[in-house]
Amino acid sequence: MTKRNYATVNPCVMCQPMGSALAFKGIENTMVLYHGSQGCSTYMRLLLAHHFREPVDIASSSLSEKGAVYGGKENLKKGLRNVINRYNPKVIGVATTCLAETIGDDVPAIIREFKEEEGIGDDLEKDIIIIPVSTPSYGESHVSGYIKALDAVVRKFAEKPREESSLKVPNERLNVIPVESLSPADVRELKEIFEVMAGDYIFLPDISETFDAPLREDIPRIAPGGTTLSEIADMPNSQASLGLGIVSKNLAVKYLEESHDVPGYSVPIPVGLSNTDSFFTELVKILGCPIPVKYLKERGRLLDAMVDVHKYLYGVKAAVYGDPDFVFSLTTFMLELGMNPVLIATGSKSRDFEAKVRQIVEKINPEIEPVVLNGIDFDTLNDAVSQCNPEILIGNSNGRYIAKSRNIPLVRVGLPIHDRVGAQRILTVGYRGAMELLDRITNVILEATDTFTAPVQAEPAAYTGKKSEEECMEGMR
Amino acid sequence: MGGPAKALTLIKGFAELGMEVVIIGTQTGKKEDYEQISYSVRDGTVIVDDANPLELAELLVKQKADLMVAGVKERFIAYKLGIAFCDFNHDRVVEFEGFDGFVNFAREVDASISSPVWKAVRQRVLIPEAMESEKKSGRIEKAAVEERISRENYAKECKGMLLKPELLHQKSEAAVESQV
Repeated sequence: MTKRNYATVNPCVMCQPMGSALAFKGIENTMVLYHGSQGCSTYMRLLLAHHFREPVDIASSSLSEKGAVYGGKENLKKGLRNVINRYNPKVIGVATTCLAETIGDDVPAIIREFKEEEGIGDDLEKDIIIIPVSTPSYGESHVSGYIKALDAVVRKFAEKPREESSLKVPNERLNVIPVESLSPADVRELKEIFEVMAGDYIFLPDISETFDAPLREDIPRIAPGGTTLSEIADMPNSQASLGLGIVSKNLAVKYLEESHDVPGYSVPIPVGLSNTDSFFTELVKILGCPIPVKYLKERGRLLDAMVDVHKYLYGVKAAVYGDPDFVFSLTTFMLELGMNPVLIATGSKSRDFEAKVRQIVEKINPEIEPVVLNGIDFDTLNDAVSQCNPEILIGNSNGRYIAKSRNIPLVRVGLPIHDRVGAQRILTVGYRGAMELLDRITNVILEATDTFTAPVQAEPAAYTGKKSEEECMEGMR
Repeated sequence: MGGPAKALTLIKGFAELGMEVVIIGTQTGKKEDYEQISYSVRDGTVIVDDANPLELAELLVKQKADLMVAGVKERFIAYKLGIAFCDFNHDRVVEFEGFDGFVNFAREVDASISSPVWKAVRQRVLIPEAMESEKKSGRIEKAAVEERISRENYAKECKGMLLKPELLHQKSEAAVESQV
């Protein structure tokens, strides 16, 4: 593998402001404004619109050379005023970009000034709430942008009570906060589970309606749906918080635990059998109610499906890439299925990723020695793929060139998926999600090997069928 | 399962792989075939003629088989029991004949037995640790029954049940009374 540390070629991550938009868009009546130049907003809108196939409005303070030199205060104020006039939102998330961070605009101070000028108070119920979050693109990735934005939202609504003792009114609710954006279908499935198990829960951020909206008669300026503001304000009173994801730190869960004594629990994103098992086990522990028969049946069906396909998947070499926690959960599932994940990679720079992945490999199949990469770009991934020789790629659409050039199939999961339809409907969580994922992976392998009854390839060169056919034709001539 | 020739071949094949045959049978074997089979297997091996699915399932459990070799009809009997399966029927597309074929066979046997899904299948029902002790006292069954009767929000009904045993006690007593 050639070592290059001087440049990134085809990055495997998106930037922090993008992640913040994914978080803000899951909150009721919220508008996002990027403080920076216009391109930041344009390209994030393009990316998200491709993926979700929904209108994605993101405002920009539209800094030009003048703003870059003299500071972006006036632009930001003007932008906020325009957003309020045009969209009439209840919340405005202001995410900074590289430019604003580089010139060093004090965004919270500008917002304070703006609120004074416009006579906007601090009443969470009556006034417009403006939430700044510092998300320079040159730091970390969209994953951290997502986590930071959620943290900022929770902090804003659940600011430390001044008299710490008296204000807490405990209720039986359960907070649920993921560390990575899940698809609208995933959110819907999780909400259904919480509906049955917990009854009362708060899922932040809920993109199930805002990023997968039904066609309706009127066209609202801001897509209806999302976590309601009263729910977010109620989060400090909940009986517990459940964080989905164990590789990245869940700042919002941590904040609620440290400042408001809401006990925080973290489980892996429930993709695959054992991850969903530990998800339900944790729920049982927190809520003290048994697992509904419906989900036990789904679990049984998943086991049955896993047995049915185990020979097609056994030992199949796979490369998986994407966001750290999702990749971790996918890896667990692949190991459970008897697949051989030879290459496990994430584009984000994640401190705990390698250790966590090695740990799970050691636990389920200590015989294999996968290459685990952290903070990579697609160029590095390409080199690693050449080295590891996987038979299948699992990850987002950006890996399609690698898959194509090596003539191996790509199972599309994660974000972005812009060259196929239905990204918003891809279900991966829960027992049902695992079943769907299992079917997709298996069918892709069957399609590639083009055999129906031969579960195990006689030779590792599994995809040479086409070539030999051509050779045969030539031989006949 | 299959014809007698296949049965005899497989006995030798498995011996070479260091495996032990615990059940052997054919669909079409004659008396002489079975005599011959009986000479080549060790004592305690069950020899069956044209077994039906129920008999097979029973035998697989009784003989503690790890792997079954038969045709596609029997595949799912084995799978439901959590037993690995290897297809040795005519609709295969990978050859098992000759030296190379035997390598293929060994590979398929490996894939069938070594897959981690069998480990997962051993735990068929998920019973979280927190609840195991409760199960013994029969509380979970009660919860399920209550849910079926009330059809109300499940968790609301069950919520706190395991945490507050005294509350539950009252409830169950009330239920008994109403039945009387």
